[in-house]
Amino acid sequence: MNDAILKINNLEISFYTHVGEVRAVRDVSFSVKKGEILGIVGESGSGKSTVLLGIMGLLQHPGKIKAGEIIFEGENLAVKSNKEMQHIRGKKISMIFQDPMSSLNPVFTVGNQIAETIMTHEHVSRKDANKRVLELLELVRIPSAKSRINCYPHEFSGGMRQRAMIALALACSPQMLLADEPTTALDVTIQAQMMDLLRDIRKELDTTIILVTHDLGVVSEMCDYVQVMYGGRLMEEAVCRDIFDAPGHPYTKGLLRSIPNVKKGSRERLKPIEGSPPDLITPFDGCPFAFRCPSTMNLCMEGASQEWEIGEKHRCACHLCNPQVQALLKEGGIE
Amino acid sequence: MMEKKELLKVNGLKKYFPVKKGFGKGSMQYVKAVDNVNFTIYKGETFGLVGESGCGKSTTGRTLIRLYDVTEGEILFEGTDISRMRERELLPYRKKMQMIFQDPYSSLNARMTVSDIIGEPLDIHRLASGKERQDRIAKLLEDVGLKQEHANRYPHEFSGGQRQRVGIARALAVNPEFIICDEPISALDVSIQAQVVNMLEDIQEQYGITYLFIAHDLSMVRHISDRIGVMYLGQLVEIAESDELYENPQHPYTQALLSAIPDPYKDKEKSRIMLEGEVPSPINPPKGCRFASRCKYASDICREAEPELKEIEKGHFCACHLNEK
Repeated sequence: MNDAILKINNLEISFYTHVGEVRAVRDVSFSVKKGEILGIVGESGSGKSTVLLGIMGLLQHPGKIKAGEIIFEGENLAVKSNKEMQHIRGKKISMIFQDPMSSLNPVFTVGNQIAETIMTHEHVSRKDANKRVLELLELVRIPSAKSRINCYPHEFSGGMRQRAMIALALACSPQMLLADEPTTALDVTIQAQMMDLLRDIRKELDTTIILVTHDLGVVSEMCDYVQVMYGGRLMEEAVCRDIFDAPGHPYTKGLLRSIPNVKKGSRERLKPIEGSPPDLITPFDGCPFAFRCPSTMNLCMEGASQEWEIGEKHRCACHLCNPQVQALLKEGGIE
Repeated sequence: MMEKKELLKVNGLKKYFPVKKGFGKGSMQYVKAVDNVNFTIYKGETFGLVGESGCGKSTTGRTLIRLYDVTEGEILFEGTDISRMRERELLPYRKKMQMIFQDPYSSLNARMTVSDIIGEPLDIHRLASGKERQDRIAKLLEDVGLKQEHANRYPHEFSGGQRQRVGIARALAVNPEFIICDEPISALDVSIQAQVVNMLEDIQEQYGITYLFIAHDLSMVRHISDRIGVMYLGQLVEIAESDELYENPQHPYTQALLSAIPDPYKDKEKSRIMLEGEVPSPINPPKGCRFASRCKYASDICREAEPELKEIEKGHFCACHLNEK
């Protein structure tokens, strides 16, 4: 793929805590095309947010990129110093966080905070910056933007704060927007407005978006391409519809079975995935899902599977997708 | 379905929280969190209560169980009004009504072991002691899918899903007839949510418990509830059986809310009703219908008169002027 804007190769991120090394992201590789909306889904602790923080160079102290490359516009972000990252962060790649109240500074006005970002990265006067702020607030559809410029974050409602966050992220027209659970803290009607806004931004500004979420419904409506993460590894990746219509990995299948279907409204029992998510502190080389998987084989305990191509642009990291294993299973020569 | 027997009837329930703005007399204002709510819950059913944050659904739940004092109105539990009872008179009812909270991290005392947490209600109501108490705790742990060896551990040793199970065991300890579940699954991971929902259904079947299930996850509410009430800004706008509500929503707010659910298996043709603006402040809610400022069908009468919750079809109640003619 030549038009990939971001390419991640064998990324490993670990947190070195006092009880041992937590391998939050293991051997993750993927690429994002320009103008695409990529969704990363997973449960808490699956490493999906850590990947984003790694790309932004925002990993906090015990966390470190252990190995791997993050190639953005031909440069490896993984080896850049904090100072070098400052020229990229906010200007070329920016991020939206889950909780807008704790990501905005309560003692500065919203307009002030957005103008500050613009003035840091571009050499413009305060006046020009303020003009741009107004445009941005109108772009994210804050009603009567002119009078809202001098408001403090606490004067905004939850939905408006999230809009202000998006305006802040877009301040320097970045090529890429990383969104970490942008709609989780919002109500469904506001969530619908927010999804609409992000889609429009992609259309108007051709921004590439990586959207991290645990909500499969949001993914299905927003994304072109989806990746499923579990226990720090990529389990499956496919074009959005394929994940829902033809899931390949037992984890993806289990996840889809455990959400009730709104349309049918059947009262039939849900089929949960038994057990609980893995503890990443215990070193384990097998498939992270092996302990909860209904079709675990001895093979799964020994090592995690590589990614197998199971359809067009559809890759799945499960031993069951290995043609050799499939052949052996047919003969009954494996357990 | 069994014959319907009323377990809980709520008449004109109001809960106002005072807020002080400025100085002097007349500066007292009220957040009208719950404003004139009427509904009935029948024995053995699950009544779902949905709405966006700030609509008063949790306040309703907490007022029903008398964690908050009632500003006005009646709460009839098996025919007895408990809305004005003193704490001492209320004690027997505390045994019949229990609550499961949203956050499994802050609703368990971190300094108590699991067996103490589950055993505490048994002690307060003097239901069991000694060997009997031990056996009861063991049975409760088994009911919620925890193991015997978990009894002597502390809450921090458990995952979110397991903690929620402890909270459910505590609610079950006194053999309640009615449990208020205040967003019991929204803090849990998707794969764990289904486990807890299945467990709640098993317990209901086994002990014949009635649930009030408060949630904002609309697809899960449809799955678990027999009937559903939709709240907006402190008032109930629609009540119906769950399938009826989802297939034939009558109130414009319900229609918009349901169309906003992101659903992986949604029909492509169904278009989304996008609501403009945001929920008005509950301090001085607008006159007339509270939804009028965001409703595309709003006419003059909506801004003048408050619509009443009326039965438009059997078992389907809706508060909207559009249904009056």
